[in-house]
Amino acid sequence: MQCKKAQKLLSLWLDGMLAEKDEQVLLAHLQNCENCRKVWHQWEQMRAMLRSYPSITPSPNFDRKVLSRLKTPKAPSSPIPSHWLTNPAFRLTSSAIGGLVVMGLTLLMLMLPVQEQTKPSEQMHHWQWRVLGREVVQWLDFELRGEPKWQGGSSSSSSLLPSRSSRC
Amino acid sequence: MQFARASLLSPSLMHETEESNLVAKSKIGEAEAFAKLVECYRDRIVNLAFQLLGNKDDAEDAAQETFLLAFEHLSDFRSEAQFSTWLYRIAINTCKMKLRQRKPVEPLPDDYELFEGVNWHEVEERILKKWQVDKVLARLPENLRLILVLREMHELSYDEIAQVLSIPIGTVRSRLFEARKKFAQIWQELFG
Ligand SMILES: [Zn+2]
Repeated sequence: MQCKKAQKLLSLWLDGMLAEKDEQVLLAHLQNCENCRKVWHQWEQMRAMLRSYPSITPSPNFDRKVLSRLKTPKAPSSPIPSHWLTNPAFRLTSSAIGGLVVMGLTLLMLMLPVQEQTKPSEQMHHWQWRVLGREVVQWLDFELRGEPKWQGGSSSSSSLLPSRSSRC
Repeated sequence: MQFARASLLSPSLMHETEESNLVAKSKIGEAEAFAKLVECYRDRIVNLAFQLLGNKDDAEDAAQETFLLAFEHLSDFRSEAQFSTWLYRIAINTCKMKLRQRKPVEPLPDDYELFEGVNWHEVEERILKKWQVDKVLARLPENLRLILVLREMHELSYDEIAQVLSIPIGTVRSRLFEARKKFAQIWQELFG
């Protein structure tokens, strides 16, 4: 048997996928071929190295992060009925509140001493206001929704999540 | 980083019927059921991503995206397939996408999170070994790297690998042979 053929069998043999009759052929070849014995040794070493590759432990809040991002109507029990959150009118209202806050901040800015306003470098550009506005709306939205609560339990603990040490 | 070997063994660790129950419940949006699936597969998926991406942050990101995508697309999952296989496929695609977003020249970063959090007094040969393995894996073509990771690190069967990668069993056989040959050859070139 050629070495290449033998090594193909060897690869299957290492995975326990070689038929018995082929196994006999392979073993006979290995007995007589130093080169293939060397390959066998290398592959065994390689397997040992790959199998001892260090594993990592996911961070403790991994599950919570995933679950809080699930898009499900059943997931978080928010203090506000979920149909409100998807209701365009409600979303519009929360955006409007955000808008009002931005307007308020703008007015506050306008009321600042004049000399500060005249320095262009210290003025907030239009886009900066827009970014701020978006952040405020997002913040409001977050406040209104509250942190996700599973089965209405305490929002700060993850005790309702399955413990890490169970069956799996 | 923990140096004990995680239980990455593939055969369904969860009772099959229990798993399909959980999948069915997750399909109708029950987050608690899905939470159990996340708990069951979290370690394997995070480690798979770690082996393919090389650092913990990216691995966690990819694993999270995997679970979110899985939940979102559960309706596409057909129950005659194995849930684990389906999840592995999503994870691999997510990692491939992340790799493509990196610089095309260097598929894996050279400075893998190798020495992060390591107590230098306890440095052992294994850390060096990881570094060497990473070097070799980074030089393997993607399909060969993937099949070695699935077979040697996750100990998936030929059938499972065929399902995860959507390739015939014959290709699993020949690709594994190719991967072993190439790995040994690169190792020889790099480390003698
Ligand atoms: Zn030979």
